[in-house]
Amino acid sequence: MFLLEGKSVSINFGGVKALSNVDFHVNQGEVLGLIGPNGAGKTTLLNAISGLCPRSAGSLHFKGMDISRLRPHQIARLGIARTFQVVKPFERLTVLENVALGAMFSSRSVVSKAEILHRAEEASKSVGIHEKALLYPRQLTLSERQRLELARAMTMKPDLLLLDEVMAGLNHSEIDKTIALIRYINAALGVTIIVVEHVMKAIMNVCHRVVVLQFGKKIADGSPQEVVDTPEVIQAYLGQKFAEKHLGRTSERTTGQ
Amino acid sequence: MSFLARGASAGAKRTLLTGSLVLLLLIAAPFAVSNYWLRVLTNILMFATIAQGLNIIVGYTGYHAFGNSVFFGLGAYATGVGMALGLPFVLALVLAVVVAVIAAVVFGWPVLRLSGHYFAIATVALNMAMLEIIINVGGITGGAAGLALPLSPLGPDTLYKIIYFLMLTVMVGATGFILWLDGTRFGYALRALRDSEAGAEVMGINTTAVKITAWALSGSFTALAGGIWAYWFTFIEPGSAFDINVSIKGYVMMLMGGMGTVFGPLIGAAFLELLATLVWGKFLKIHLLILGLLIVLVVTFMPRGLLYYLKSWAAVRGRRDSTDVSA
Repeated sequence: MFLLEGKSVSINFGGVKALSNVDFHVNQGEVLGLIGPNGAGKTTLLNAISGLCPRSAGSLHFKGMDISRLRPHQIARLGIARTFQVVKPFERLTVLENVALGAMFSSRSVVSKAEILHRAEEASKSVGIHEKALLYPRQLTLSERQRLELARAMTMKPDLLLLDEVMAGLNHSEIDKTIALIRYINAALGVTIIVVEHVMKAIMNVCHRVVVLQFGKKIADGSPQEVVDTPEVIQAYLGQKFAEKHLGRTSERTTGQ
Repeated sequence: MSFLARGASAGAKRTLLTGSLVLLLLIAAPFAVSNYWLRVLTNILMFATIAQGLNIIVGYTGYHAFGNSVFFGLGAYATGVGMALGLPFVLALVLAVVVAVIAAVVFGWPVLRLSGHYFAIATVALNMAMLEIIINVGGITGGAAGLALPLSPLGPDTLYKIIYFLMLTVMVGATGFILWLDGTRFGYALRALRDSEAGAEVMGINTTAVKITAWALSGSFTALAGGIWAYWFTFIEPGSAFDINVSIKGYVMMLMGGMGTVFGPLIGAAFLELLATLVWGKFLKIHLLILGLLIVLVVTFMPRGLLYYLKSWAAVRGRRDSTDVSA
């Protein structure tokens, strides 16, 4: 049984088909990359899973249970956590309070204040914002705010974590830190992860499997290497330059023209 | 500020001390002041309660319920009708709370789906609709002619003191509730959804249930103030019970004092009401102009509310004092 399975998931915004008949699955313990050009429906798919976006058709099963009709907080309590591409911190709560909230309402929530604090401090430490615990989110840098989102999701102790472009706008060393962090969450904490990301270095480094979307349709599904070798993916998303630089496939250029 | 702030600061202790002192003074006051000042103080307590009611839904939950006066009116009418049907005053107040909770749940279900200006306008419309309903229902509500409440067998001196202490109790109850809220899961759920509703939802907070509960609590305190007000005035009519100015004034007080703080709205209520009593009597024709100007000045120059500036002033002074000592 898959941890998460979507069958012909479709979402329409008026006449626009944001997702049409997407079949996908996530295995227990893997890191699944979700890539595709802007507007392909990556974030929409995450919204569908977390319940923020009502599905027009299709079904979603988490641990064998139908979550299609559940509300976002019910889905969160089943063990699915997520971050937002545009970070949504609670601006008038301290960093520590932001992180602690995850321990208060999730499936594995705790009641005692000491335990909530302990879990919040643990998560703040592992993402490296511990020293800023008593500041407010607006006093953090973008990179720290993105790691705050991660820490909030971590305190929920989820089974499945959805990461929506947690590396956007970061520099190289910050990207490396985040890659290490995602690996740690997956390997050491045993959390299954879906990563939406444009940073191909991260996709190639952390993902066990990659799904590619274009115009709301799935165009590829396989190991990172298989996917970047797929001509449709190169044409739709990666581009010839990427292929030349990383895969040494200069010969394709002539056939492409 | 909350349990995650770790350890009560010196500031928190000072606040508690000041609060207890003010409470003692308020308990002693009715036995020392004239009837005129008793009336002024009762009015302050009433508006402080209304401002705290707004604080729960606006300051903590982020839903700007301009029309919260609908609960004041419902509380007044529930108490009036309850007493007309033979209920004792205290049970009529219980009825007021029950009506407020039902109204918050029934109207909150659709209305709390709106946000921002749309929610604010919807609550104003709700208040207007209720006013018209009471006028047109007539019957036991008295309709447009108003409703007289049974007179108390107690003399005015005793009655007005009882009214005062009831208002004080409700105000202390509302403030105590907000103080409690600051360190609880429920309080954190409110503040989380205020800052980001989607963020709160995906962290497992049932935002619909939480905000309806918050509005029901906000409405309950406001309805209690309305119920006591009805018995105090002994005669109510739709226009004054569902007067939108009640919630607008409470809103301004909350804003002035500091919304989302425990004691700010109380300071705002005392400040504005005393100002009205002491100063505006001399400017009968232009007092609304002065009020408007005051609101503009406060919002422009003190957007965080009086409490914040009082606190930072005290902090600066405290620091200066301590350096004086060390020098």
